[in-house]
Amino acid sequence: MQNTQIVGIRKYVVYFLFIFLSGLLSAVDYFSNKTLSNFIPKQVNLISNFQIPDRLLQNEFSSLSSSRADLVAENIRLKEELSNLRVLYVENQELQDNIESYDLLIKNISDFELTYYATSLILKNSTDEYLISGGRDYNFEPGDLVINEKGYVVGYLGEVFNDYSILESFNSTTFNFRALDKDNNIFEVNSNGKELIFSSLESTLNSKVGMLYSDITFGHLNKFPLFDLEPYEQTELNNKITVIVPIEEMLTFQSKLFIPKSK
Amino acid sequence: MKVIRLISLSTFLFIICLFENYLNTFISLDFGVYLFLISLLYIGTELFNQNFVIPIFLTGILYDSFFSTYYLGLYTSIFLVVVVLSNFLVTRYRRSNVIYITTFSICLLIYKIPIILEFDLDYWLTGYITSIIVNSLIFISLKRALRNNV
Repeated sequence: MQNTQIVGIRKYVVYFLFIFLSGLLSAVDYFSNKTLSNFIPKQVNLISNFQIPDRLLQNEFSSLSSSRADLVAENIRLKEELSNLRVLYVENQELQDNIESYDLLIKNISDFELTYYATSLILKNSTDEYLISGGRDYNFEPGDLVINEKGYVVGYLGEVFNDYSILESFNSTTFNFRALDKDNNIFEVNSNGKELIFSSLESTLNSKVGMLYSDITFGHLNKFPLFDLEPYEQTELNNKITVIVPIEEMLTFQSKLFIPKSK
Repeated sequence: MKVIRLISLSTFLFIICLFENYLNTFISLDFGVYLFLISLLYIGTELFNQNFVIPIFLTGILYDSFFSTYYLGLYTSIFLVVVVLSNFLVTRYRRSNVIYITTFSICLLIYKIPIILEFDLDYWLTGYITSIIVNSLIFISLKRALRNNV
């Protein structure tokens, strides 16, 4: 009986050792300001390495059986042509989508002195943060704003790796943002996952709050609209305003995202 | 041979982990399909042995490095704790669907602990309960299917 109990505990020893090792890694990472967790992503271009090779898309393997009859050769040539055309069609669709989203963006932004890098969603991690394409290869930096095709802020970059970045969006656990209204009142924006909570930091408000904007005073590149608070109920306590806005729009693979950078 | 087996197992687990994240990016409903967690539970309940430590550890390190904003080692320890806990619960108590569902519920709590600690109950509770139902069904079906095949 005692023996089986010892065996029962012993089988976990290696697991506990590795859990301890993980804890140790976390502690080292914490005290080294994330140097350890950024080491591997700095060495590897993860997203670029996962791209499907063109030869697979073009179905080159089909040419192996093309040697005898002309008809068979012609058939294969046509098949290859068809697959090439399909690749071109997909490329064409992507380019058209890009043009459309850039068109929309151009209509909605006022500052053309900036370069707008198109980015797209890669996946959502376990803590509801989004991985988006583009990282140090485009000189992105943590804190860079991410806007949609309407020119509205949808989040900011939390971490930047070689060829991808982590977007802190409205439903991210650590979303924290500062914005100004038209009267230059400062608002702090936090998220509880389902709602955005806008709280004014000053007590001089005397009118209803309208549109909020990002601002260079908070290290943002330019003034981009964030949210129009006018349609929402605004509660006032000690001359400070709090507005709670439900998060309705989620990012999808179809979402068009841009990162503005100075030229 | 042992090294090749370790590498292939780690790669396989990491691919499942990636696939889980991709799948949950597509699902816009208030629940997730946690294939990687199901795999960890399967390892914990059916295949538990010390050969799985390093592959799980490596998968966790890769996940922490590439896909998480938390400190290196956090998800690694979560993955390992899930396997140990699931094995402990299943060996200590009678193997039944109730135990499996309870185990899954506790392990999902641990798996989602970064979100649970950051957000209020009303943010994650509905999704959590729905996820338990959906994923437990997948887990139990998978277990039955694999047992039947054997």
